[in-house]
Amino acid sequence: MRTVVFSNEAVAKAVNEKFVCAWTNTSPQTRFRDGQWSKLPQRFYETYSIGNGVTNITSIFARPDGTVLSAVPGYLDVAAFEAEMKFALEARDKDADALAAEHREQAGVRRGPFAGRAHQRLSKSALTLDRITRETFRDFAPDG
Amino acid sequence: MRTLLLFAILSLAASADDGPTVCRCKPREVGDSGSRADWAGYGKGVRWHLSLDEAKAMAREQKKLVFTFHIVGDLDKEGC
Repeated sequence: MRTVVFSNEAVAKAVNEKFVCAWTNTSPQTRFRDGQWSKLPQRFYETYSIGNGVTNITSIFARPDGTVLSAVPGYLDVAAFEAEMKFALEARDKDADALAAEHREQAGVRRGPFAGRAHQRLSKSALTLDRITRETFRDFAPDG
Repeated sequence: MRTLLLFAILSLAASADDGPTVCRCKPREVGDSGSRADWAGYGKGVRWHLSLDEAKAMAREQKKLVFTFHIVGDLDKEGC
């Protein structure tokens, strides 16, 4: 996502306008070999599938008080990330559960195997950024 | 006799060495090879704040939402 989505000019502009961004290393003990990922050709990332890397990366949108509006485990491409941004902005002043249900009913709007379920579960359990962990996302693993 | 002499010379040469070879290299920081330069557009675009608390405070001030990206690894170095 760093190489493709967050480097996309339109995405970056929209994100910077509407969000304040932070990142969290969920596994500080993990070490990668130099250039392990960055030496892969950009094309590799451009063809990466939505929902891959579900235990490695999670995009989380929240209110300033830390209330999670949406959390999507796994890789998102530019279009899917933009859809997630749009969802979070819509959910800002609404009931995130109701909005997630609306979105699920719209065929084709929710892309990826995990996005809809993520909205449903996280908003109903009233998670906050302080409580969210990788453990939370176990249920989103395929067939898990 | 010649074999013994040769063995003695080699033993002396070995004892004059610093001992067994060990790697005294300083472990490299992950991603310090300048690998980010390989990614066009890397680091350009989204503005990241390292602290989540700082991001939340700033979002309150600027009336924005917070976007946080959980990754395995270090966004400034290497990782998913």
